Amino acid sequence: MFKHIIFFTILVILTYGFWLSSDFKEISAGVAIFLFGMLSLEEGFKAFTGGLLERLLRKTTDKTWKSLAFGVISTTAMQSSSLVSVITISFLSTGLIGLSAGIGIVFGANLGTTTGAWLIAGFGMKVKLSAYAMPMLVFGVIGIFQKSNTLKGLGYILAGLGFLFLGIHHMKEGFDAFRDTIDLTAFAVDGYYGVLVFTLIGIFATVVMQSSHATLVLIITALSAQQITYDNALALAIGANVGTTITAIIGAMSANIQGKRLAAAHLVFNVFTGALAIIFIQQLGSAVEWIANALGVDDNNYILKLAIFHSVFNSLGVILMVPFINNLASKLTALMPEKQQTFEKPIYLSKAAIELPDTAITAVRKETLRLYDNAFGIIAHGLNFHRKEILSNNALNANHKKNAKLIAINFDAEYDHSIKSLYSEIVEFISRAQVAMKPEQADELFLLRTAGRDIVEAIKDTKHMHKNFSHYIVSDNPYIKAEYSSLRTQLGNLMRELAKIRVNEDGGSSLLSFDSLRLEMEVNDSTTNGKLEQLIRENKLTAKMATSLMNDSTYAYSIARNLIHVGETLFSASNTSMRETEQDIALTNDEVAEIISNESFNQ
Amino acid sequence: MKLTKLLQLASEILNDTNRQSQKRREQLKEIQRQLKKKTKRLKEKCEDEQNEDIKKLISQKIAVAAAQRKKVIKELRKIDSTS
Repeated sequence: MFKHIIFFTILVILTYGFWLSSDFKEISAGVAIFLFGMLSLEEGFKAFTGGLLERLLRKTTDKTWKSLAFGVISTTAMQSSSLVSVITISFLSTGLIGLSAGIGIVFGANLGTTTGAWLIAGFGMKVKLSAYAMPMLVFGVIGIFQKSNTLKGLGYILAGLGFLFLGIHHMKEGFDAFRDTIDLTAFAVDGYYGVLVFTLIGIFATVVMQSSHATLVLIITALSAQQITYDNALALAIGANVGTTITAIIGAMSANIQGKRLAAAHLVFNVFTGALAIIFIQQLGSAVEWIANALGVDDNNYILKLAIFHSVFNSLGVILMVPFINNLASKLTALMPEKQQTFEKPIYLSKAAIELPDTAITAVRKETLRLYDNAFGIIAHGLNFHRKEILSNNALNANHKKNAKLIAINFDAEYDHSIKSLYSEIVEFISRAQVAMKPEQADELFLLRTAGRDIVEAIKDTKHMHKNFSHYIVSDNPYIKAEYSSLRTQLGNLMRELAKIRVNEDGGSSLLSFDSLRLEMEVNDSTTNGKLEQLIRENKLTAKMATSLMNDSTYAYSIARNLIHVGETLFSASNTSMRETEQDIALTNDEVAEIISNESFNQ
Repeated sequence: MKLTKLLQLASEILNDTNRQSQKRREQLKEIQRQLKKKTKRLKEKCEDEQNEDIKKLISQKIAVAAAQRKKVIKELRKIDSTS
C-alpha cells in the first residue's frame, strides 16, 4: 500500500513539474534515458555471464585482495555497482562463493563506482557526448537484432552506452537552460544542517532511481551548471552512496540467508563510510584540496574535486573495513542465523539464482545433490546400513545376526520430511528457469530433473522391498537369508562405489567409470536369477519366498539402475564437450552384454 | 612467412570442422591416457588381491576399461581417416 502511495505521488509530482517547466522535463528525460541505458548495459553484460564470469569468480575470489580487485574491475567495466552486487548475491546464494569473498567484492564495487565519477567529471562534461551517442545507438541496435548471443550482448552494451551518453547530454542541457530561469543555489543550506539535509536528498534520489551512478551524474551536471553548491554536492554524493544499498537489499529479498547477510554487509559498509564522511567532512574537504593541488586541478574545478572526494571517502571506508571482513562475516552469520525448518527447504534455489542461466543450472545441480544425499541416508537405512558403514573402507557385513537390531525407518515420514518438498521446489524452479534458456542449457536442466525423478524412484523401490527384506535377512531359512543379504551388500557396495566416483577417488574419466557399475549390476542380476531358479528346483525356498525374492531382485535392479543414472548426471564434472566425447566412448547395453557373454563373471 | 603458408594457417584457423576434430582427438587421447593408467593400476591391484570375489570385481573393471580403450582407438582411426 505504502509503495503504491509513493509511486503515485512521484507520478503526480513529475507531471506537475513537466507542466511547470520544460527544462525540468528535459532533465527528467535525461535521467530516464540514462537509467534505460543502464538497463541495456546490464542486459548486455548478462549475455557474457554464462560460464566466463563463474570461472573468473572461482579463480579470483580465494583471497580478500582478489575479491576486492574483482569488485573494482568488474564495476569499472560494467559501470554499475548495483549489477555487480546483485550478481554477487546470486553467486553467493548458489554457493559459488563464500560470504567473506562476497563482502570483498561488494567493498571493491564501492571503490569501482568512483571511476564512474572520474569518467563523467573528467570527460563527460567537456566533450559533446551526444555526438558519440548517435553512432553507438545505431550500431548497438544493429547488434541487438543479430542471432549470435555475443553480438547481441555487444549490441546491448553499445546501445546502453549510447543511451547513457544521451541521458547525460539531456541532463546537461536541461540544467544549463534551467540556470536562466531559476537559480537552485538559492535553496542551498550551509553547515552541518545542510550536510544532513542534502545527504537525505541524495539517499532519496538514489532510492527512487535505484542507481547511485545516475544520482552522481545528476549531481555533477547540476554542479557544472552551478545549480548546486560544492558543499551540498558533497553531501548529495554521500547520500547517493548510502542510498545505493537499496538495490542490493531489494535483490536480497528474494535470495537466501547468505544473500541477505551480504546485503546487510553492504548496508553496514555504506552507512559506516557515509557516517564517517559526514563526521569528518571538513577534514576530508581539506584532504581533497591537498590532493587537487598535488594533481594540478584548477581551484575552481569543483567537478573534479567532487570526483576526488567520492574516491577519498570510499577508499577510506575500504581501508578501515577490509581488516574486519572476516569478523563482519561471522558477526552477520551469528546475527542472521539459518532458520530451522520442519521440512527440508532448498538452500540454493532463489529468485536471484534464476536470473543467470548457468547459475540457475549450478543451483539445481547443488540442490539435486542435496536431494541425493538425503536419499542416500534413507536408502542406506532401508538396507539396514548406517551411512558411515557404506562410506568406510571396511567390508560390508553381509550376515545379519538373528537378534541384531534393525534400523528403524518410517519411509513415508522420511520421504515427506527430506525429499518431497525439496523435489517439488526443484521441479518448480526448473520449470521457471528453463523459459529463458538456450536449448542446450534447458537440456541440462531436463537431465537434472530426470535425476531427481530417479532418486525418488530409488527410494520408492527401497520402500517396496523393505518389508520382505527386514523379514528375510533374519530368517531361519539360510538360503533366503543369504540371497537377501547378497542383495543388501550388492546395493551397499554400489552406493560405496558411487561415493568414490563422486570424489573422483577412482581416478580417470568419471562418466566412463559408470560402465563397470552397469556391468556389475547386470552380472549381479543374472547371478541372483540363476540362483533363484536353482533354489526353486532344489525346493530350498517356499513358493512365497521365491515370489518375494523374484519381486525384490527386480526392485534391487531398478534401484541400482536409477542410482547409476543419477550418478552419471550428477557426478560427471567434466565440461560439456568432454562429456559428449565420453558419452561416445561409454559402452552401450549390447557392448556390456557382450563382455558378460565373453567373460566368465557370472559363473 | 610465405603467402601460401600464411593462407594455410588462416584456413586452419578459420576451418571450424578441422578445429573441432583436433579438439576431439585431444580429448580422446586424454581419455586413452587415463584408461591406460587405470588398467595398469587395476591389474596391479588384482595381482595383490587374495579375496576371489574382489578379484572378480576387479577383473570386470579391467574388461570394461579394455572395451572402452578399443572404442577410443576406433574413434581415433575414424578421425584420422576423415582428416
